[in-house]
Amino acid sequence: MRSLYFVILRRKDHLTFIIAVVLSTIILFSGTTSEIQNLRIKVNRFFSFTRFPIIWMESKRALEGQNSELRERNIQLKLLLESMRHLEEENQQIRALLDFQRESHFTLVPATIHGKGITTTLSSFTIDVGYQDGIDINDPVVISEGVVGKTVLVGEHSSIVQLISDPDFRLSVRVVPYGAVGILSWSGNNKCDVREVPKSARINIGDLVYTSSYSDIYPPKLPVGKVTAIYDERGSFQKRLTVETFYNIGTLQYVFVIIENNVK
Amino acid sequence: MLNRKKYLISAVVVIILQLVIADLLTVRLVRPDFILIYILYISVWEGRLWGIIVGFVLGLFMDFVGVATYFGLSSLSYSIFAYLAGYLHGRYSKWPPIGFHLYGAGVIVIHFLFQLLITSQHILTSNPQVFWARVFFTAVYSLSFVIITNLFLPLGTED
Repeated sequence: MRSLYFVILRRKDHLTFIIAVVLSTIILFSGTTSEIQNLRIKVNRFFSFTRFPIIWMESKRALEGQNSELRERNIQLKLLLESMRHLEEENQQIRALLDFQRESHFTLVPATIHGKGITTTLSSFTIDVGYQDGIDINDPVVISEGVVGKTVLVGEHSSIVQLISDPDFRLSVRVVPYGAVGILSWSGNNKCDVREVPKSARINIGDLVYTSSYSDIYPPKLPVGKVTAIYDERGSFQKRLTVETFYNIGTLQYVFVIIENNVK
Repeated sequence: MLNRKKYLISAVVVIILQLVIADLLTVRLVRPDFILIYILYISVWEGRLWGIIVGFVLGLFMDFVGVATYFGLSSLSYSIFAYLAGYLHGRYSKWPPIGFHLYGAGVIVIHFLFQLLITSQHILTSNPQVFWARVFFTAVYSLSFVIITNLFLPLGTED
């Protein structure tokens, strides 16, 4: 017994290492329970205050740029508005004639990014809306330029979003105009890979990529990016595409969560 | 014996650095890993035991605050990293400096390789060039901060 004690004492660093590895492996393979998920939401919410100065600085810088851009666009839009008023009247008359139902849109909840995690690669962030705002797990997160990710953990007033840049993220997409379908995954530097695309599919560089109608999470026709490269691999029945997103994921500050999809 | 107060304060500072500053230093979605640097110093200065304990705890913390997937991976990889880095404890005066530093750099590369092998397997199979470039860039980016820190606070000073 005494000798065993001395062995443990002499080899305590090896023993600690084995315990740490075993514990980590158990945590890694057991997945996360709801208690751990709730705790993670709370921890994330607590640490979001550390990003406040950065959010404030980034917002100030972004607002200055946006302000001048918006003034220019305001004039352009005013000119457009006049012509659109005329078009709207014409549109309503035609709709009435064809008896079309008015198309419903998504119900969007605006959110501010409060935390971007602390891992070496950006794969998730925390937003300031939770189930009190109508958010649920697996709600799509988007911006006007395209799909950003989906909610994976939802707290009372904050949620964790799994980003398109997470190595585990997959998205069913459709390449237009010819309609080839594939599975999209992140490959780094604002670029994604699209796999499972049939070799016979007609695709050109510059074709636009949208969400397909096969996903239970994402509504169809949400923009994702554009095709920048096509690889016709020898000996394979499929093509591989490189798709570039329309935005830089590292500079995002505000996003929208789709809580209801009423598109017909 | 570990100066608990000193290390606790420095751990808080490192966590704040990782939470606030690392995001500002993001290049191509890659951030420097200040927590890794901290664990390296603890392991080299205080030995394997404290390195593994600190690595495991901070890894768990990182998993809580950070990633959406692979919960537990950071604690595993930091524990392995601390175990390997802890081998350098008390060896600065015994080893040639180049060997000491090359071993440290190698352990950092192994850490990122291990993490990316688990999180980005699909990139390795589909596009090995991108995968290895990512391993290289992530490791070199954090390594450059180790070099900067080492200029002000040499790893071998505790020997």
